[in-house]
Amino acid sequence: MSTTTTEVVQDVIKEVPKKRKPFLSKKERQILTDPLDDANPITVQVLGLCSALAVTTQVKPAFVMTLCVIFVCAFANLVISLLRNTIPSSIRMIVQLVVIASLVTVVSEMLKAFQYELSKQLSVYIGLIITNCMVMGRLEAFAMSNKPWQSFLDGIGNGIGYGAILIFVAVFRELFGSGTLFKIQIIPQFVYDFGYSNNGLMLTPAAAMFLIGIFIWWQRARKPKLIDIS
Amino acid sequence: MSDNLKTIIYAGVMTLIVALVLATMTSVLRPIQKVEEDRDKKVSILAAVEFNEGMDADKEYEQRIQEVVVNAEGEKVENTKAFDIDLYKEGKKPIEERAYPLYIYTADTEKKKYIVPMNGMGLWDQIGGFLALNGDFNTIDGVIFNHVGETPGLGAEITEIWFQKQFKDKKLKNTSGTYVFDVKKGTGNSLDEYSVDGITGSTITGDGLEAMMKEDLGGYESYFKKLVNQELIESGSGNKVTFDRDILQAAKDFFGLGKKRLENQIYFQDRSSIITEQSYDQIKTLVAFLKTNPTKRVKILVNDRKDESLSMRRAESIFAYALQQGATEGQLTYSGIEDRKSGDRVEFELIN
Repeated sequence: MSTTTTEVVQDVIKEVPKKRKPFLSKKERQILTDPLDDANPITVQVLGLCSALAVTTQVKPAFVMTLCVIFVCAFANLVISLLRNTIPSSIRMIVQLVVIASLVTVVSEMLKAFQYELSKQLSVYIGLIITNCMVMGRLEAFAMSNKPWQSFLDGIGNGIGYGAILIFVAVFRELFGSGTLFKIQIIPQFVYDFGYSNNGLMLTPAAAMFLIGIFIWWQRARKPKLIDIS
Repeated sequence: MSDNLKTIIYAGVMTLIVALVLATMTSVLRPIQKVEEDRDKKVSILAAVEFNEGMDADKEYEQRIQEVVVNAEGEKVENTKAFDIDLYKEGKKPIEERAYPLYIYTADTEKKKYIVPMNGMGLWDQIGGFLALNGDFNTIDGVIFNHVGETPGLGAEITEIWFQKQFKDKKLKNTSGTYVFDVKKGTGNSLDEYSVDGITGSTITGDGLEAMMKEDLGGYESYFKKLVNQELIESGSGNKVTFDRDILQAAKDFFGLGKKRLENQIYFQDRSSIITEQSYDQIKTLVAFLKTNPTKRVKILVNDRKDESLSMRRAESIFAYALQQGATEGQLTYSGIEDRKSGDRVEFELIN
């Protein structure tokens, strides 16, 4: 009698599928996805605008800039979070700056060694990641008071959110300002022959300003709760 | 341990770690970066003449560019590599001491272009570039500019293609030989062959660029004059020698009017066989004659009233110098004699 019961119990246990533990908890997934829309660093937190205007004339530099910012933000967050309980309060900001500056230097030198052409195009702007309010902002707001893994994810999330806006702007500016995307000619020649010409305004930072403004407008229209949030 | 001390130690340790990491990384990456920078420089040099996105800069450079270093006098300078010269440093030296690098480009058509590197001051910091000149050393074939810290959208526009394209086929000097090229304010200068449009709002950068061109090109004046004056002669024996045009002209009359024997003004240092510098041109003219008449043979005869061995040494000296200047050995013989009756002299005798 007992053997049949155990057999039945074992069959039941086998049938219930083993619930897999997800790689990221719900909270962690939120850390990654919030900055994409609800807490977007550029359109909601209004940080990091300068480079959004400067490097978005073409998609390729915008893309590389995004990768660099994700790297810097994520690892700066990680390092500061690891050190958060050791940093003497009087030199808190200085330590943060040193970490950011060192990481940016690493990125800049790596770029010069392995992507020389791109480093020339991005020259000043890579160095300016140090001054990107978003990086410092996340250190203060998140990394100083959260665990390393979460901080790392927060850095990645914000970097991606920042990148999303950058690439959005860059696609418009490159497509309408030069007719290309990633330097590949998109608008065919016959359209130019018809009288179409590239929009020169798109090549200026002013265009980036307009595009971001329009994006913010669209975002607030979708989610009224974001109006007046910043 | 007091708080202050802890803070200081913390800062010190952090600084040490950061310094160590960055220093290590930099020393590892530096050689790789140098390769990239060098290639980029080669691309810039080539871009003054041609620009193809897909070209192998190293190969093109290897095949088409000849590096030369000259000084303000127009003489070639040996033992210095043109590519490694730091123009900014050279610019600080007095003109007599400067080394001027030059890149001579040979096109598929065998035509040569002369690429001059430039370095000067813009509004905020250094500007530079490469300028390619045609064989007349006056017409610009192309140009490429770079800068360190000019204002984006204003002075920085000198790197844009539209600005650089304007320079093609413009001339530096007018027909009277005066340097007149300038970067003019405003637009509409495309028809003027001695100027280009400046960039609105970047007058100082434009002025700096203009001054840089004039000064840097000026250093090559003497060398270009020499090149213009020279012609390349290839004799029957196959070796090519360059001669100044005036020497070639003199060579035409060397044994003119049916003369077979020529007494020449070759001077030696007192009682020695060392030829004085003022005599060099005479011997060069002889060599030019031999080169343009590869079937002729000439005998060098030196006479000294008292010393046969001296006249022999002197004749040999002339022979040696002639060979050094590119003469073919088979076209020359020499001898020295002692003749009390005729004066100390040097003669060139046409044998056939």
